[in-house]
Amino acid sequence: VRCEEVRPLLPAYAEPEPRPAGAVDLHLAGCPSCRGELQAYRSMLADLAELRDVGEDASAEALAHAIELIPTPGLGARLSGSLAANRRLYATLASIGGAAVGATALALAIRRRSTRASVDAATTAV
Amino acid sequence: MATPSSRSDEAEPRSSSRPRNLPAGNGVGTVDGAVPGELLAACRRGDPRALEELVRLTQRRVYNLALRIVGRRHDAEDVMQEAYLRMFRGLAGFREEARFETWMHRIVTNAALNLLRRRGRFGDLLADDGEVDRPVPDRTDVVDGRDQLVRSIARLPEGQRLVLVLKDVYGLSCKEIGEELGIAEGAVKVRLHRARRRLKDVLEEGNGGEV
Repeated sequence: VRCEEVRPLLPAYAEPEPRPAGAVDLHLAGCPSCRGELQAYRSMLADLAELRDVGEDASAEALAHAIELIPTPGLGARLSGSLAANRRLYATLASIGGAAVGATALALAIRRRSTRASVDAATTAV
Repeated sequence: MATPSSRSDEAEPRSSSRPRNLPAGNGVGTVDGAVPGELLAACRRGDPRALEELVRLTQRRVYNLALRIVGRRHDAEDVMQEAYLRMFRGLAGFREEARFETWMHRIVTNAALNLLRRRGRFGDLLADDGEVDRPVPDRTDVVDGRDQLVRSIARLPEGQRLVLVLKDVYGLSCKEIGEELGIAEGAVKVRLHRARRRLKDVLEEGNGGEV
């Protein structure tokens, strides 16, 4: 691979992402000029990332307006907060309810089976 | 392309070392600008104090991203309000596994692009090449030797500048940028490639050949 083929790839190659070593890496290992070019791109990208937190603060008015937009917790939110606070109680009640429903269903099933057995016995006797 | 303007609120950095109207300490509150997980959790529960802290912590980044897209301070403040409104509405549904900063940047970008669409200036951002008729800031208060970089970015065509800023400064993916701009991911990559090459050339010109 020649320098002319490698150079156009360097702007994307400068991004710090894992990639399998290939022909470009082989070329870079033996070409100080292309390595320097790649380093220049990497340095530029690092400087660009630092701009993220550079700049001016918003005006006090704009900041105040943004804070005014913060929603105050309404009835729904308070209710949901209350529900969240009592989540354990509701979970317990739900478990008890579920167990009660299950026990009732089991009892009904047993009773139905015993009734049917009695009827069958009576029919056989007749 | 954007037309030159003499408006006093025309973009470009005014200060970074000292807050404009706020006491010291109201900027980005963590070293890397990240929002602590506990704060985010409280915000998702709708805690007003946590939300206020979130605004104070992120206002600089939100405002400057908006400013870098819309170019005017007054518009950037409108974008900031819209973006926070959307954030407050969307936080409850925000997935923890997603990176908050990227989510926030995308909301700000979307709000800024919508403002430009309403003002009929969106087309300016799609110019991929050609001469720049936007005024290049001749003075910035950006410290630490970053002023040359900022001025060099301003010399890029709008379409290249926006893609470069969103990707290399604010970390949006090419796919996300394409979705926001309404162009293919491949087109974003092409612009990014051109923007990086051009920016490096401009920087080298400014440094007498050395980056």
